[in-house]
Amino acid sequence: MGARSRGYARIVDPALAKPQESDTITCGHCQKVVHLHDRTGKARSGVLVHCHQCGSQTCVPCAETARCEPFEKKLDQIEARGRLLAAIGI
Amino acid sequence: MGAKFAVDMQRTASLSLSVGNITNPGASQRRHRWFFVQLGAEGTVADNPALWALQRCTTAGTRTAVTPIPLDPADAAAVTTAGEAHTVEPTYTANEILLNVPLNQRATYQWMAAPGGELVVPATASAGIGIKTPTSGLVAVTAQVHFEE
Repeated sequence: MGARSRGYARIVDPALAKPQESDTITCGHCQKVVHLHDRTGKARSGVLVHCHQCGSQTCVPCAETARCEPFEKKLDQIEARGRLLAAIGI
Repeated sequence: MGAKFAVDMQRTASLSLSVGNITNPGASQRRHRWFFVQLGAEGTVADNPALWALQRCTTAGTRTAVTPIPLDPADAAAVTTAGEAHTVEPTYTANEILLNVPLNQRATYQWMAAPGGELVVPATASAGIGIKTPTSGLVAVTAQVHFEE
């Protein structure tokens, strides 16, 4: 789940002459959607951090934890816990 | 590549209740991935601010069921379930807001994920993502989601 390619977001507002557009990245650790441009179309700096351990791009709050927790790994842990709880009848 | 589905969730917005959510069933769950989201209001034009939020949840809550529509008519019905206009909120996971969109009532927001950047829901019972919009009452809002399972 490297999410290196970019998503796309736009706001269509009849009060504006043209849609507001932004590239997006899905954080490789928490899946938060990060907009890479502000509402004027200007690129936002400092909103992404490259994780040198898993190679994904992450949001700043995840980077500040200084831990590499890829979301794919979290998914596996959540599902393993779900299977365990189901097996013991909870 | 899994089957793709569309879900349309509507409600007269509330300051405290969700527009809708898409969740796993209690058994035979599978991962599902949101790759398109559209948020907006279809009421009479007015200037009202709203903060839309997509947040992970661990229960479906009490809701009106919505049937996901296959984008390919040849696909079987979805295993994943959906609902709108909650009367009892789902259990939201704290700090697991995946997308926040401050949006005027006049505007429409669309998001399309890059391949590999979809919002993924784990295959556990009742896990899902809910859509919240704390707007003033009497504003009719719609959220459209496309997902793959």
